[in-house]
Amino acid sequence: MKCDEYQKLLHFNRPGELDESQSKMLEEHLKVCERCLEKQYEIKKADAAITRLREMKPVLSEPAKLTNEIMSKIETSAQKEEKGFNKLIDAILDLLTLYQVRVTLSLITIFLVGTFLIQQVFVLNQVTKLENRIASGQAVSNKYYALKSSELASIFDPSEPRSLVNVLFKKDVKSSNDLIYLKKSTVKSWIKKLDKKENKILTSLFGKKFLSPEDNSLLEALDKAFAKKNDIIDLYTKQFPNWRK
Amino acid sequence: MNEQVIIHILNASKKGDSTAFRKLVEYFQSYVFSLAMRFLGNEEDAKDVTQESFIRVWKHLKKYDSKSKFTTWLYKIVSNLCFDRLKTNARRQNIFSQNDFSMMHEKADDSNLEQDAVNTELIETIKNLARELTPQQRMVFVLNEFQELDIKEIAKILSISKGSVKSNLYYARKNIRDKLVMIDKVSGE
Repeated sequence: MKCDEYQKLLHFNRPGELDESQSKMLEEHLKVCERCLEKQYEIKKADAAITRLREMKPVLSEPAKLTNEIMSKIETSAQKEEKGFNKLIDAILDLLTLYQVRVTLSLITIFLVGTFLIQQVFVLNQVTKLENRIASGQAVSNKYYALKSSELASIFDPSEPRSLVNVLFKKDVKSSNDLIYLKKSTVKSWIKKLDKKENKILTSLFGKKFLSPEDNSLLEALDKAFAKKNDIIDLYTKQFPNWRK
Repeated sequence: MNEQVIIHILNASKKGDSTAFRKLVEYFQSYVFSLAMRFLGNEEDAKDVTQESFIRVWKHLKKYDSKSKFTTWLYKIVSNLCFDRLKTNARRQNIFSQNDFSMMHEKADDSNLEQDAVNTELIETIKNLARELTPQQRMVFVLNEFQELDIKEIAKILSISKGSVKSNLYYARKNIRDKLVMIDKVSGE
């Protein structure tokens, strides 16, 4: 270590400022280095002046006056804070006494509550619709009465000669055997006339698509329809109360 | 005043007991004034800082963590206010091109002569010795040499590392000691 570094250590001469090894090294160095020893002497001399300065305590004139001033400011600031808070509360209360403010606040409250309730009803309605749609979706695949009335109308419209009801029920057909009197060509043309949409509807009614008059399962499917005949007629009557006339 | 008594007073003060707080002010105001005076070298500024420090302590009592030493917290407040005051004075000096020390000196002459003599000598000495120190070096020096606080506590007060305290202390001590040695040599000749 060089003298400069030792002289730096000399400035840390208060207890505990240097660790044991540093103190020991410095002590050993001072035994052999006159220059650093001289520096240490100068520092000690300077420190005596610093000690004198330390002992010259700044004199606080009229300490009681300063205490009173401090306490007075503290109490004033506390009062100000209190006043400030009360002032705010008073201002709010004053504002609430105004008729226009009260009406405006009431309207805002009604609007907010109303919006909230409407939203709730709307949501509830949407949920109900969704539930119904889910339910009908399940029903469409199994039960014909889940079909919409407009779809039913396209099948059961009495003014349509190819209407399913006209073909099957108005002619007092009670079973598939009764279809024998119908010419095969009639059935064939009837089925041919069914458009894709109707075929789709019939699929939901009979559980099978009418692909062609030669379809072996046709009579079987029709039998299923006959089993539901009364239900279909009831439904149809609801749609067209005077269809039998 | 031991730490337990201080905590007891602080707890009472937190509940709004200003009589208890007065005791704290009475006990610590000379310490606070002393630090501010030694750092700022201006009696009026030191008094202002002392006032403002206790008002801050009162206002922020609820923030005080009783796990740390009260004096550390108090000195932290005081040192921050001292730095602020120094900046304000520097700005004011730039505006009016006047020396705050001489302004203060003239004011102090009107009161007690003996007190003024001590304060004046101290002010002049600090003014001359600390002229070349940065505010942080000066604060570290004052806290260590005059308020007799150790490096660890100064680091806490100024929120800096112990290494930084050591380096500030080294430059401050070296600067002031060199000046004192020079003064001694000149007066010896």
